[in-house]
Amino acid sequence: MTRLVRRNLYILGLAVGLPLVSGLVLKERLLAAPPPPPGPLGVHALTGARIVAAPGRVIESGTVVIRDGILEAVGAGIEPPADARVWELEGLTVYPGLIDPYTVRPWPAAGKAAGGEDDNPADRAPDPGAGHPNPAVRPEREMAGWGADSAAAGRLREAGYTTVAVAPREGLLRGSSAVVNLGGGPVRDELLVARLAQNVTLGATAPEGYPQSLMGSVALARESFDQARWYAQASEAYRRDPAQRRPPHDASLEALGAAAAGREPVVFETEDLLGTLRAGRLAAELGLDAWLVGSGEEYQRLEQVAALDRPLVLPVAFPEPPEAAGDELSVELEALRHWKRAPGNPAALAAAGVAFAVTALRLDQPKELHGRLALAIAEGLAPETALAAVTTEPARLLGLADRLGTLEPGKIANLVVVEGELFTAETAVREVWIDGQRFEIKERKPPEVEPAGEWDLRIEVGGETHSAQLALAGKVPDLTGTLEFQGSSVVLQSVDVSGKSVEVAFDGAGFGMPGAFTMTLEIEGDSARGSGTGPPGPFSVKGTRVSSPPTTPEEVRP
Amino acid sequence: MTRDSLVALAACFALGAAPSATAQGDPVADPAVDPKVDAVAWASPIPDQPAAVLVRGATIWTSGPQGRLEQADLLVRSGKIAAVGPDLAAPPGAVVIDAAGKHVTAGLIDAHSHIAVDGSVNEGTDIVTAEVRIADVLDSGDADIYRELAGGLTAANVLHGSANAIGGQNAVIKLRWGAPPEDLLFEGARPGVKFALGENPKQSNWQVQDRRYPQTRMGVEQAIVDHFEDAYAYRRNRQQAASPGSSAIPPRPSLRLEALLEILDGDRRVHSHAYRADEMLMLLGLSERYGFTIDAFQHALEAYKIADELAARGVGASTFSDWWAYKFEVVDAIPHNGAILLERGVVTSFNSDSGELARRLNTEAAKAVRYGGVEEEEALKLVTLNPAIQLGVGDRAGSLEPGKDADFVIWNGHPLSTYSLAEQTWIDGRRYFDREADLARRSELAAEREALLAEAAGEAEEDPQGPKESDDPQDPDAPDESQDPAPDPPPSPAPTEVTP
Amino acid sequence: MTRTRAFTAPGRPFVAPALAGAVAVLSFAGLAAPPAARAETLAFVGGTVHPVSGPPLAGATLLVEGERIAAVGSGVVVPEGARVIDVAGKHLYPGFLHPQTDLGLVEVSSVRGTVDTTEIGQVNPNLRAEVAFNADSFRLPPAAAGGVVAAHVVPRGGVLSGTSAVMRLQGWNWRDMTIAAPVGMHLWWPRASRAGWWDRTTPEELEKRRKEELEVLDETLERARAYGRALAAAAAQPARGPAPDPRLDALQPVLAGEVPLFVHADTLPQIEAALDWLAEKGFERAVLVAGYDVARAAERVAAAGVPVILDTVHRVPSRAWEPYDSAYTAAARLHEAGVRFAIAAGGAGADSENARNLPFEAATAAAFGLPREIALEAITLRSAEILGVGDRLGSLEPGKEASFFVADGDPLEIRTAIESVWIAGREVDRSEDRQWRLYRRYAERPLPAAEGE
Repeated sequence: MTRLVRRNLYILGLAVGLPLVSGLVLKERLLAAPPPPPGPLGVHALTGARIVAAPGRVIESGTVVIRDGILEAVGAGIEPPADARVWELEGLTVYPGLIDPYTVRPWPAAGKAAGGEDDNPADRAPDPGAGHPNPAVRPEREMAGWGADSAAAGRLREAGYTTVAVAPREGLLRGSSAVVNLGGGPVRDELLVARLAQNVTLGATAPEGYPQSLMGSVALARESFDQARWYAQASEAYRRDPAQRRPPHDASLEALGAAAAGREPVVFETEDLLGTLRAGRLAAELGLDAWLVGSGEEYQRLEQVAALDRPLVLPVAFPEPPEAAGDELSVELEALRHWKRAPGNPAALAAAGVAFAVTALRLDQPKELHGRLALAIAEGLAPETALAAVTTEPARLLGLADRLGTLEPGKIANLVVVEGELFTAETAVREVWIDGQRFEIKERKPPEVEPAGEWDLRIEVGGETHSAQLALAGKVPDLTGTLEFQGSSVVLQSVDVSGKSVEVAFDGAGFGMPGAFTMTLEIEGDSARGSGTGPPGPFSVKGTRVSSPPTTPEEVRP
Repeated sequence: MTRDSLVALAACFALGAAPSATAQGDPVADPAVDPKVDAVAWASPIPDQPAAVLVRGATIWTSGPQGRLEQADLLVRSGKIAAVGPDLAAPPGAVVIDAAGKHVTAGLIDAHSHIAVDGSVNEGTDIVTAEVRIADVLDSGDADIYRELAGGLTAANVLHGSANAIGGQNAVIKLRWGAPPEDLLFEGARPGVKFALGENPKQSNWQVQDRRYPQTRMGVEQAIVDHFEDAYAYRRNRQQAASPGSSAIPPRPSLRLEALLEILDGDRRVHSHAYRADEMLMLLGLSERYGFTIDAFQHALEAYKIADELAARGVGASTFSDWWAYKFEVVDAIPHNGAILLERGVVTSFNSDSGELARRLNTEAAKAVRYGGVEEEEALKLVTLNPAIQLGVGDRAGSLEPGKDADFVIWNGHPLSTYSLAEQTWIDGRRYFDREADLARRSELAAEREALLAEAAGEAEEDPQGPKESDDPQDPDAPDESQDPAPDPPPSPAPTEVTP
Repeated sequence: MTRTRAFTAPGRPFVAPALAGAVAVLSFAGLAAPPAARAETLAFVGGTVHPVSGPPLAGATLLVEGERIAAVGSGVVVPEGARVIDVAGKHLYPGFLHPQTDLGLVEVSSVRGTVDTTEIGQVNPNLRAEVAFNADSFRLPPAAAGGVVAAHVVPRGGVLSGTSAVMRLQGWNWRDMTIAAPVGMHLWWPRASRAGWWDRTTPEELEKRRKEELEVLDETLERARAYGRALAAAAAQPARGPAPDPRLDALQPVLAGEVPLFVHADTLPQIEAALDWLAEKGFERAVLVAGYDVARAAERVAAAGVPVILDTVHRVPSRAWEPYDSAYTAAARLHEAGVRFAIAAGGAGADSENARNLPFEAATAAAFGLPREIALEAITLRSAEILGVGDRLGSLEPGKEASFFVADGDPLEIRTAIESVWIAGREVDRSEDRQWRLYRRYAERPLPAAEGE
């Protein structure tokens, strides 16, 4: 039996079997079912497109052939294979998929519904287990177990990203990052590098108690690396002579060992130039293999930044114009200069011979990346350098240059299709391909509805109807919500409004169906209809708004 | 002679762009005002270091064995003082400054400062945090560096706050405006650590959720004892593990205990915040019992009561001239403190503990003249030589003596006069502050700011959504001494939390 | 009002107060009497008198009768029986009048029980500073020893914090130390900026609070006007009068222009808003108590004719881009624009323990461009005039209070020694100064014979 047939049978089984079972049984059935097979692979030929195979390597019109998730051929005058599905891309440009070497996500701690963007101190509470006594020291956290947040992944794909490194967000020593593709499948299928690097934020303090200052956090970081080196010695000493009190087990120090010995990279996220220089000093002092996530202020002291001689990951979240807000005197010359000069930062670094990769970190939305890089190009950054900073440079940094970063036969079929140039103020990303899977990027329209309120939903799967309650709060674009289904409730990872349509994303783990779910509703007044998809398959949905959020007294006042 | 010529020649090349270095090697008049000084540190270039500088015809307060010299010259070569005296010859290529009618002093030194710190000056959590280091968090961009330069200050002892019995490690800096953080450090300064006694470590003056041991002066003493004993035990365990043939597991590293061992070994000297005589005597007792060295009691407002005890042990006092009454433990402060201490042989300095006061330490020194009749040259040493000694840089700074760093100030009048101001401040033979240059640059900077403001306003208008967040003009974490009457900001004062 | 009770201390001649009713003179046998128990005629001869109201008079005589200056000049005849004090080579200056302080309202800042500076609530126009003035505050003698003979004592807190008083720094109780009260009603202009580095209020909250405070202010004044009209109407028909309201009562003299409004505004946006508001509401008698930003509005302030109390000179600029000497040059810039101003020390009335540093703040202004004689005037005569006591204090002129000091040089110089201070004709007794006592005690501690503890 071919894989395709098996999958079809599986889907058929769902369609036929579901009407016969209750909701509870459904859950059990799904749990008992074998894990879904990998997504549909196949053979595709993208024809007629302009192809930017690598920075500076442009094919004005050519074909990209993908076979089972791998690039088979890239070039002009290539005939699509007979078994390929052909995609006409005339007028569009194909680039290598973008790679962000540094993204963060809140630690999806057990007991906490995932996806919240709020800085909840509980997120930083000590993990159960035998770790470092200080809750800010959590190097044993591994993002490999979680991968990318599905809502964040959606936003990253919209910007043309196909691969990212994901690091835990909270803490001083925050844990190890993983590199994943953004295909939305189970993390085991998306994972490219399970343990990329340890991640550090000097200046992060403990939820309470020591440390509460920047200098305290530096001291604690320094000591933790010292202790990690000691832990290896202590374990060895105990192994040699077990006739003594055993050293306490410390999962944190164990996890930090490789980084402390310089065998695993340590990424320092920094917020300002002082922080970048500080991280550089500490890394040199401790003999770490450090990467620095910079601040955008590097142009101020190029000489010192170049002397650090560390891999540099550069944010491009250039500041908004400083606002006087009725008090012009309060606007600092330094802030004005920074606003003026920040877009020239990448060009200044390039001119000083400093190599860097670019991250979308600190942008409100990853898709702002293109506009920011367009500004940087206008300030003198070579477009090839800009492209390299989001493709080949991060691929090299992540140790994936042999598999990612350019469009070459044998590499992973990660690519992005845009209309026109990649780096413009209004770049139109049409589709991304990840591991040979196509993701169409829907255009976002200006929001036309405010969907807040309580919604009674009727979810239809294979003819059977299940009821669910959707609660949305807030205002566009700051909506939050929960979905209640069969007595369980999950917090929505994202709520996005485009025109009259609302798209919500959530993880089904809370319902016993782990995996990424999305659901799109077209809103008309107080009624909604739409469809959704999740690991078990697609479903359709209808709903009615049963209550609107209470209006605040302020809104009532004239 | 040959060597000097070579140095001068080298400097002619090194100066490069400086038009003052003429090919003929003639002495040159003070070069035109350097227009490059900037209000923002990173945009301010490090000033050139001329091969030689001759300051001519000034009243020179050497704060050294030469005393005060009228109509004298100061010769600087390659950043070091070469000679002080009458009628010195200008080496070829020297920058010559006519200082007739002016006064020259050593650069002022502030033995207690909290400027140039990124983030909080207090790790105010645990009662002992000896492992935290000011040097890790120096902020070279703090505008106070420049403002204090403009008051004739050239060096400062940047101290951890006073929230804990044993606080963090201090950093002695030179005010090299424009330099990156690591270049601020005063090379060779003695390693130090902040201690604090009395009301602050016992958390008397702010609201705390969970009270911490100790809450009494009795407990402060024993908290220090407890930690020193821990440090000794740590050392014993480590030595045991390191002894030949031992298979014992070494103790888990503690940078806190390591720092305490440095203190106990005398490698890290103590600067202890203290007000009352009783608590100072207590720490003197501990220093004798444990053998550590107190370089200076900071504030030391009741030091006059135990001047003889301090003098006998060679312990210095770094005090305010006349701040008092802001809390109970400073009720007995008197402005004559400095005079009594000097009279009885204590190495005494006047410090600022304030970004404002540090801009006019020269006139603070004059208060020793007013209160207690200290002789003027001795009064000036309260802010020059004496703090240098307390910080372990007495061989490098604090007086104008051959071989010392060329850190000096040119004043437009008597340095203890309230009507005088600093015209030039030099560090390492580089002119970091020049009032003339500062004045000349102002209109340019103002015009630049106005133009950028207009441009930013235009851009904000174009963007209908406007900025997402207003730009916060002030770092709320930055301790603003002018707003805070307490000399040492409490660790987390959060006045909003204070119950009415 | 004040009842004069004169006692004759044993062994001391009773001298009738020069101005009956002005001051209570009290003395009790057996108690140390800090202010000399009698008012006498004093002649200070041979020194240089600096009247401030005119040029220095070398070799002049200052004649004091009781509490007042009787004569100043070269040709002054020393009356029979006068105590002659030779001040050859010395300088006589009018005592300093600190124009903005909380002296007497606070003892130890961190000890709450000793702090009476700041009431809670937004509207407290009926509070009176003088009633909380601690005559025996240990902060007073050091200030007096520094030549500060009187202080404008100002209550803080809320929007309308009450009325202030000019207090003499030597006396028996607040009643006999009050030179003038009420001096002004104090309005603290709502602020849209944070109070300090520890203040975490959001910009939105600040703006909301600012608007609310303005509303409270305007509404309070409207109510006070209505109350005033009702009072006037009640004069004709007493039965129809309004219910007494001490707060609104306190505002009547302000609305009638009898008591000036002191508007405290630190930053330029506050200062400009306050000036707009004053013009709009038609307050003619107003004083601006302002931070160094006021120099940026100097032309406008001069045109409005509003006098200014510059709340401190010794201040770090609050913005990094500003010239380092922005606060130091503010007084000079005000002067150049023709603004009439006094100089205070410490900022917002705080740091009163160091009121003695007032002349040195003025001196810094002089170092940075203010003519020296204006610097001196700004802490003497101009201060007195702005506070409405120019007829009694601030200069050495016949008829004014004999509150002055003898110095060995320029009193704006720290190195100058102030040798004696006289307040209302009575010499300030140094033994009343706790700091001085501690100094003498420990200066005379026997030197150790050998080391020992």
